[in-house]
Amino acid sequence: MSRLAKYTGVLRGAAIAAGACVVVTLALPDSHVVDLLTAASIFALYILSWAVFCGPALEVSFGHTFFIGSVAYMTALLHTRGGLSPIACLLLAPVGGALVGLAVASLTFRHRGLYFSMATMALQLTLYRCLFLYSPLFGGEEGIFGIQTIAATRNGAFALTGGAAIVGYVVSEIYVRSRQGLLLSALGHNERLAEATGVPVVRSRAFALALSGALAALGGALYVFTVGQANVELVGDRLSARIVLLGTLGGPQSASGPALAGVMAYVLDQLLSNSIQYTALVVSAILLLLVIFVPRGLVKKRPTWREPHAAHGQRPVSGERDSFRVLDVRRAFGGVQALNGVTFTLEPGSVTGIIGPNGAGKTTLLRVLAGEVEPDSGKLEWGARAVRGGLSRRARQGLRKTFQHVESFGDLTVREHLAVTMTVHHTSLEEPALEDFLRETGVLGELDEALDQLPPAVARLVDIAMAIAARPRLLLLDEPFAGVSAAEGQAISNAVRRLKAQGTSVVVVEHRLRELFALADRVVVMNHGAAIANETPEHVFLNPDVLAAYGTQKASMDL
Amino acid sequence: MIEILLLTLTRGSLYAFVALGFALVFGSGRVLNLFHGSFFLLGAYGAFFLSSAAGAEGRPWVTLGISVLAGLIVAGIGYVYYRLLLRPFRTNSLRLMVLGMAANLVVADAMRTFYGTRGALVPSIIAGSFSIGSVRVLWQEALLVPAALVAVGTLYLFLSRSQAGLAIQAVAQDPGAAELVGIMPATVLGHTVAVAAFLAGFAGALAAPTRVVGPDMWSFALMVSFAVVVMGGVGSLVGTVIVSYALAAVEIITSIVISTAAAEAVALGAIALFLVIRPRGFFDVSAR
Amino acid sequence: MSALLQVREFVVRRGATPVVGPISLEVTEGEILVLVGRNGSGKSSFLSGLAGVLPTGGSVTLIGREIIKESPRARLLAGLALCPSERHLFGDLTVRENVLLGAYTTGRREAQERLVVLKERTHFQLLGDRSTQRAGTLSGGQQQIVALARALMSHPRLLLLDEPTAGLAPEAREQVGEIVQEFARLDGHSVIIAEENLDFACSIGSRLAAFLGGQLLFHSSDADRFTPSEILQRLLEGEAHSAAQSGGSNA
Repeated sequence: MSRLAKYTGVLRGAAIAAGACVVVTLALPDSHVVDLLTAASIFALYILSWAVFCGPALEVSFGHTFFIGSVAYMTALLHTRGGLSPIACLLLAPVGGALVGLAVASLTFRHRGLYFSMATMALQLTLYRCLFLYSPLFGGEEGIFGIQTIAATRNGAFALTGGAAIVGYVVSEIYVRSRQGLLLSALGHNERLAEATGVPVVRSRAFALALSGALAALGGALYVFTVGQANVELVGDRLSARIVLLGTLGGPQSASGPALAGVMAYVLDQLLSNSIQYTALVVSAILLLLVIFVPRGLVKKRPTWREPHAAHGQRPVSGERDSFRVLDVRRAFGGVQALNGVTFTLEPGSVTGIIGPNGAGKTTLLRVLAGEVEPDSGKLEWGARAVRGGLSRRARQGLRKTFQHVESFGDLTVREHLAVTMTVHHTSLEEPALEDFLRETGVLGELDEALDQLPPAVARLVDIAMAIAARPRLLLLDEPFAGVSAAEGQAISNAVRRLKAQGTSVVVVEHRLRELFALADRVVVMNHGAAIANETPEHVFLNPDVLAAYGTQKASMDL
Repeated sequence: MIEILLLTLTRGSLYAFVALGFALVFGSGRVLNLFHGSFFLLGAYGAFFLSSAAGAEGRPWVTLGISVLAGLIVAGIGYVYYRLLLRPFRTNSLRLMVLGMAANLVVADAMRTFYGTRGALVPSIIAGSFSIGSVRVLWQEALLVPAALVAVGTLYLFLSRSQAGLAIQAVAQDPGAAELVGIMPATVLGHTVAVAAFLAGFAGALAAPTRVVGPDMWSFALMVSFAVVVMGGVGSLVGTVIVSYALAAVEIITSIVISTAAAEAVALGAIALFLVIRPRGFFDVSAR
Repeated sequence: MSALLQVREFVVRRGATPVVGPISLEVTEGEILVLVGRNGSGKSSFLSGLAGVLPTGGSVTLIGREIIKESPRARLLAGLALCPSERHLFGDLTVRENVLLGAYTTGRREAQERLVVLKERTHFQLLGDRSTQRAGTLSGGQQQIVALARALMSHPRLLLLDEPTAGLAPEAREQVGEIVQEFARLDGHSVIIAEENLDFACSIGSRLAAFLGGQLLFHSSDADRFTPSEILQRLLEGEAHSAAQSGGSNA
């Protein structure tokens, strides 16, 4: 399936919607229904813009009207005070929205979950109150009015807003199904794993928020220039809450769901306004019931990746064949000295095992190497350069760590998990070591299954597969043989050997000594935070220090 | 100077009242109850409804009783909300947040439908005002200070002396260990929500005479509660109280120096600034 | 001597994954059953499953009553108390409050009476001496005493201890050992202890059960006596054996 083919569904939907709009305008020229649909399409645009970020990222922004209202007021002012034409304003609006989106992204780059939700809410509430402050400028409660409308007729207005909504729909769907959308989705499901895979966290979120802001701002500007005024309700919490509810009900990870929900809700709201008083209440009550009883939203099926994913951009196989040096690394947690001056060197194309009693510092060492934890002192050098950056950055530089316990991207398929890695590292399923690994472990037959529907053991294999797919220069495996069958263990060993032949340095922390000793060129023994021995496998247990560390006189149980 | 102090005391007492309950639910139950703002709203409207029905104008004890009654009614509503909506979804925080929002909208729209968008007028317990320096202080507002003192004191006694209160503390510190001694965290959450609802509802009823009672009151109450709890450190009731007064101070000083209209905007701006810069608070007592 | 606890085809899950079992064993009155096995072998999960805090399957009978479907609170009332690993005291509450909470299910007055009695016993002096001290400020050994007191306050028949001597000095370990043995000597009481410290395990246990990969590797009868190195040897052998076989799940 070619790259474009997956978007045909989107384009088809857009064409249908466009067709429907044309039919309506021709059949009912200049009627009330057209007005209704105009407003509904703007509303749909609001919701689409919310869902394009909050869907994949699995966040809930309570302050979406911050985007809508800020740019709406800005364009209103540019028009009334600055004399800018409506068309110019409409063109500027998405740009402004994108900038606001970037600003919010940079303000909230560390915020997740409820902290993100409340921070966005705070921004929105503040803007709302501020708009009441300078009445001469902002018009207080009545807002700014007397704005020239951009379309002379109702049909014209609908053509504009309907068209914009369709464009918004197409853009959102393309984003959600694109590589960027997949990366954001990975972030939303499991940020830790995404970082370890090398997904650029801040950039991905910023891009999506900018897109979200641009679409929202377009909606806001369209409102201003079709209705002819900007009022505080554009920044209100009621609108914001409605957007959240409908966006959630529409279902995550698709734009069509929220859009549909938006249009439906709006139409329902307006059509029921025989008794104007009760409409709002009834609609709100219905929304509440829906949120309670419809957990995953209206559109449940999610478009998943199916393409084989060709690589683009070749990276040289082993990059710099450099030694990785660990120099006197120390790290304490609370009162415990977890790492007490660890020093060793990893040669390219070598496999180094790390063993030691529990509490010796093995896991901490891996975390320091990967960039999850900063050492208190000591140096890490790769070739001539010091190693810098956090987990995500090092992953993109070719350093990849797997996880001891099961980490996955939730209900993404196996193929999508691999696609995340392959997107970041520009590799493909045709990676030789990867293909063999997938075949030997049997994962190849389950590529299109959702990972959370498969046994947890498979998730660990997928984690390793993702690491292989990254074509790493330094691979850190944390107890890879734990809980695997003999065949799977063999596949892992084969993969390690293939990577080694490609020039990768591999570090394996393990308790299963049989498998490890068959694989390792050298074995480093750790105890009490230091490397007490660095021997070939045959010589490890001849070393008296090692025996003392594992000694049977002491009560220490762990091997 | 003394005006600032006095007004800060009254405003801060109100914030502390509203935020303490939220702090308990968030800190002990580890649940973000966005419906909390509506407790405040319902208390205010409840006071309005009851006092119109009882013809309480000019009868201080009746009005006081109505305020307490309103608080109790909201406590009941809070418990029902807990049973129907909080308990089943307390493990899914994303969904719970959206639910809380939906519930807020329903209540706000209900109030708008039955009482209109215009502010509702609620009679004071003690009408009129007094002056200190150049500042008028409403008696009703001043009442908030002793009321808050009593509330905080009672809460402290409740938490430290009663079995139910100790259970709330235990669950706040270690829900797993609490289960092992026979405490059922879900039940404790219900008690906590009821207490929180009472506090917020009672505060709403007390504050109603002094402000415009409108259907959108919930958002400000919620925002203040959340911000104050986070700034004071989740799990620290003392921190919550301190920050309540600090925030009130910012608001009062702004209203005197710039204008009353700007006060709320500045307070919200300070909250927004804080939530953006230090989302997890200054005195984070809870585990990460 | 009747069986206080009977466990049949007992399985413990973390989430959807089975981590322990199926296991069948019995604990008779007066026994101190020690569970040994390395980190992650399932001892802790086994105890947590018995206490009802992890999802389980199979059958667990305590004093003749089936408790597999019961909540932790119900099991407490049935006579089973768990003293979890790392103690999990309520750090900001005082010693007194912590211990009183141990008898939460009996109500305030009964709890206070039980505390008065408990304070008089040897080893539990500190409950009186440090009554108003915040539990989080105590030393490891003192915390363990408080944790034990908290568990004992519910007057359990079966006491479960998860690594009670972890990080303790020898004197503290001895105290714990004495408390445990005193408890087991009472009529109709038993203890199950998960332990990493093999010396302690061998000195205190009347029976031994070794865990490996969530399964029972072996368990002794009353007559068998093991030394720490013998246990270690058998555990290593067991591990090598299971690694050689295919499909051995070794979490």
